[in-house]
Amino acid sequence: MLKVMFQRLGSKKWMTLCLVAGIILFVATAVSFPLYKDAALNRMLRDEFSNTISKTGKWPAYTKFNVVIPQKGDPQEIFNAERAAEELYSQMGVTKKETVGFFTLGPSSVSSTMNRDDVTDVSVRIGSYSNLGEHVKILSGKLFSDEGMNEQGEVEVVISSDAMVRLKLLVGETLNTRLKDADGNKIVLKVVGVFAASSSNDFYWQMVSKSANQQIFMGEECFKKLFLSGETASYSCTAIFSDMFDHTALSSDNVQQLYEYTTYMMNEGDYSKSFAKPPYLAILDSFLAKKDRTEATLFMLMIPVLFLVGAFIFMVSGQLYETEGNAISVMKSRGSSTWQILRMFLYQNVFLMIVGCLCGVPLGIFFAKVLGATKSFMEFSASRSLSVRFTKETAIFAAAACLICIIVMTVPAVSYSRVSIVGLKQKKALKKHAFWEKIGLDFICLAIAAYGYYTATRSSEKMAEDVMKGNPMDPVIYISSSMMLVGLGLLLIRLQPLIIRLIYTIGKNLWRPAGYISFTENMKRGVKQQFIMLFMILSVSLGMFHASMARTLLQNAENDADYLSGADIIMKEVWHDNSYLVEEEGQEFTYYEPDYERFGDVEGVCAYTKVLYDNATANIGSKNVQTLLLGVHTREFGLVTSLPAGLNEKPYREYLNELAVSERGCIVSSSFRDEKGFSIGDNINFTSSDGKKLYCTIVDFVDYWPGFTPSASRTDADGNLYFEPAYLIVTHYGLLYEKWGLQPYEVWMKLEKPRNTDGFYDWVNSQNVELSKFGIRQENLEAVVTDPLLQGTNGILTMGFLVTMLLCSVGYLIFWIMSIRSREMTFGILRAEGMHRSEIFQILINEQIFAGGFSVLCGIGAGLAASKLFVPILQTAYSASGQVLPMQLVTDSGDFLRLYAVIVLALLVCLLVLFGTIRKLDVAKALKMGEE
Amino acid sequence: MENIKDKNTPAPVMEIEGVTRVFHTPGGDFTALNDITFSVPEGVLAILKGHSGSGKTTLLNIIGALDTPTSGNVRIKGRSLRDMSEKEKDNIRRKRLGFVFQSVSLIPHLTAFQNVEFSLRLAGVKAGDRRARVEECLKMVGLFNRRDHMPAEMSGGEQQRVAIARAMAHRPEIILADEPTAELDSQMAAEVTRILKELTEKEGVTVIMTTHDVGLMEAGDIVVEMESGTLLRVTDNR
Repeated sequence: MLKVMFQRLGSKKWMTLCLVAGIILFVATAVSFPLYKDAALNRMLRDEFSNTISKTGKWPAYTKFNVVIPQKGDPQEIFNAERAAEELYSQMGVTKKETVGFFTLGPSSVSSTMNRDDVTDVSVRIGSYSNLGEHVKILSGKLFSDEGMNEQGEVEVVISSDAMVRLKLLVGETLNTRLKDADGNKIVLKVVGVFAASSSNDFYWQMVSKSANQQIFMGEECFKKLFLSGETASYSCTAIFSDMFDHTALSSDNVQQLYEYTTYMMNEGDYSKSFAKPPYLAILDSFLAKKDRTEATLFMLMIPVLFLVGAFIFMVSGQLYETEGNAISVMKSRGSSTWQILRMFLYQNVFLMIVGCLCGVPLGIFFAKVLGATKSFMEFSASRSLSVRFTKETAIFAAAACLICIIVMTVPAVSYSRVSIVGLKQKKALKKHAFWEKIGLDFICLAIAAYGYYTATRSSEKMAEDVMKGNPMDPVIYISSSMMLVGLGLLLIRLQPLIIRLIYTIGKNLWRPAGYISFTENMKRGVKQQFIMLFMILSVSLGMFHASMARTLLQNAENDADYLSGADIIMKEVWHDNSYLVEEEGQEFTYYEPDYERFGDVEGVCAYTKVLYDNATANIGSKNVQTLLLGVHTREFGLVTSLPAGLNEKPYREYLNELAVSERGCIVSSSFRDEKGFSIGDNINFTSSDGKKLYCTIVDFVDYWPGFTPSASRTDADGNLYFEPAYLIVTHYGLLYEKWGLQPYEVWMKLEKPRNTDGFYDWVNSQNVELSKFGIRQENLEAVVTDPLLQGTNGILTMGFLVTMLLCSVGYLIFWIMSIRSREMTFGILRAEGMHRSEIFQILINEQIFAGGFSVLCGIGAGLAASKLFVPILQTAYSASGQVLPMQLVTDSGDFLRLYAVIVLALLVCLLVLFGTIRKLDVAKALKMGEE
Repeated sequence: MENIKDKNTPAPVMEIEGVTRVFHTPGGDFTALNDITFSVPEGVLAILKGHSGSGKTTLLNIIGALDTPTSGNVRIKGRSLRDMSEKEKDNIRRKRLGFVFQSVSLIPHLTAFQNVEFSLRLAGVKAGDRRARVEECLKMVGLFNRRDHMPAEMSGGEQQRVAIARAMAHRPEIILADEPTAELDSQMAAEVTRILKELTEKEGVTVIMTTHDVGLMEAGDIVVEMESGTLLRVTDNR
């Protein structure tokens, strides 16, 4: 049985190879989806966490229990919370980084036993931090001992260097308190050491409360023994347990568990009252919304690709059965049952599937990596590789792909296994209209597409709303564009014979013999050729459509990121102030300005300027609106920033010039005019975030300004989406400085080469610059490229195009080789009648033009038409409210050139192979004129 | 060419001079034709007779410039095939030769009319002159009323008659017919042979056909008998 199977497959090795290639590509494509999705989402998750860390300087992955027990309260409550905190890691499915436990009593007064003149009683908080020793360096003295008490029964404590200055305490000092331990003994403290944080980048200190410079720390065990060991607490006590976990160990599959358990803890758990809303919840929220949308969208993009590959497998296996048609008929006439024949093919298909699966899965892993390196359509960069891992989901996808393959391969066998010799001959004589032509499938598809287009353009707001809420794009819209392509493809195929006939009739008497044969042949060919032509039209038109879609999505997202970045680099240093002196010595509050001249030294920066950036309030009558306030130096700001032409009425620099000549002028967003009725020359009052007031005179209105988002989407109480206009006031930095004094400002910089940020990083590192905010345009642009939704879209579109193009070429070749084989005798007759070899080639070239060339041209036309109609809709669906700048349909001639290059290459290869086949054609043999 | 030649003073339209054809096969060299020499005068029906494997088809292929002899030469109207390029041979076939093959020799996607017309197109006959000639030829083979039928819609005998019409349409000097009656019943075979015979008389064309059907022998003006690649005898029945 097996031997027979191998012999049979071996005799048709090229067809079999094509079929296996189809299966491999099917499995690889199917498997690459979960692989890529998982890896890209994990990368996105890690990116969201690390972006938060770099923006806020804080570790967001922690939870916080806050337990307060009053005097006479039950200390067990604290221990229960501590246990709950410890158990939380496993319940949330996260990897523990560190639990920081903090215990403190209320403020209490202590007096030094040294009786120094300058020291009176001081108010302190007595507390303890877990693992304090690991996070501090001792500046003088030592850390408290493990027991926490010395031989005299004095409790050993340490204080921070800040607290030392503030409380004026010394190392070695003994402090009397009014506190008593559980046994009623008076507690005496001894300061044994002064510490400072061992590193300013240690996230441990983020968990330490601001009042640490009022605190005196003792060992944790000692604290528990002294204050929490009794039946009831002798003093009111606060305990905070922070579970810090490792966000890099999170993956997209345990996010759901983490999210659900966290919300459970907040709302329903035993500790819901003491469990604070953790900062990572917002990250997870946005991640989960993006995840669902990304998964659904990528899956929908994958479907047409899988469909085309499936169609290929169907076609090739059909061809394979057809070549076996005679063998099947003979088996039938010898008494084999349909089921026996079917079983034979089933075994064969299972074998082919196993081979395909074994090669397909590794190829899928490769595909997933290629997807992860996609930059735009048909463009790759290896800047950030993906770590791909094999998940359960991948196995499910692989199994499903195999099953579908088997079904697709075996279904055509059913009809062939029923055919007897008589049936086969009858079937060959039949040459009628295809089923789809009779039912008008092309018109049905076009009608669905038209309906989809109509609803999408009518309800674009609702669509945007859905996307905003994280719902996946309405499938109808995606289907509509595919429907339009299929419909157009079928319609063109229906028209093709008519067009050919028209051309033939026009030049009826002009055609040379080769042309005559080609025309008459093509007009008679019918159904068989339609499949390959449709395949070709769909591959090319999908390629065109996807190219413009991918380019539009990417370009718009990049333009947005470019615009929103404001400048190449925006940074704000940590500003120190004299606030602690204001309280104590009545000094006037002032900021210490970092040395501004240093920015001249940053390598690669060609211009920089101070920008005061404040979330201010505009006072309009009795009402206030939130507004962004920018204080700029007009000339420098113009050098550092730029704005694409056409966004505002006038060129960008003109607005800066208008502002420059008006000493107390300001440029405001057009929302002030449209929503609040302001006009040029009006005065506008505003208040800074720290309460300072000023008014300016409006010199002009703008719609867009570097770094300004004109409107923000919000959801109201009923969950409906609405757009809220945003407000902007731009005025002189000098004016704000003069009226409000020195304020922490941002520095906006322009780089000589926008891509080269090395100089800036070197400078930050070598100068130990402390940043409180910074943004780099280049990194924002890179984030756009690696956004899983965009990159996945681009990747799947590219991969889909390459895969379908490859299959299309192979399918095209198979079709033509088969077609030539079946016509070898005709070619023999033509040669015998005296046709030159070159004329035979001419016939082949004509046929390629009629079928292949026609399909490619139709594909390009259909692709462009579908792009014009549907890409803007899909673009809205992708970016929705996220889009800030007006959307543009972008096409890149480079994309199309790459696409055409692939098509031309495929056609050339086909022609070469066909020429080779014809060259080998032996006329005498073809005519069976040789020795019989 | 139009007028009927005097049969008594025939000039050879085709001369075969010492043609030998050796096929190189994995099992060793095989001599299909061994030093064949004879000539055929213009306007006769010549029959190549012999069993399977006697080499008659190989000889016909060589005469039709579809195959090249290992040694020896073929002259058509005095022109040596040996000295011709492939393109010149194509042109000889196109204008001076007509073929009828054993089974199917029609182009499947063309109607009877188009099949016949196509050989005129190949021969470079102007569009205006084609229709009348095609109709004339189809009438001669008795299939004028089936001119718009496809080959698949006709019987084997009908197809062969269309093939004959096609072979003669462009007024070739020689028509080569390889076992044109092999797949036909005896009545139809006689009919096809009669048409070929009639052609030599009406159009003055020379017909060389192979057959193993003894019953058809007497129709031939010249009968060339072959056996195992060698020429047995040439009989002139005129």
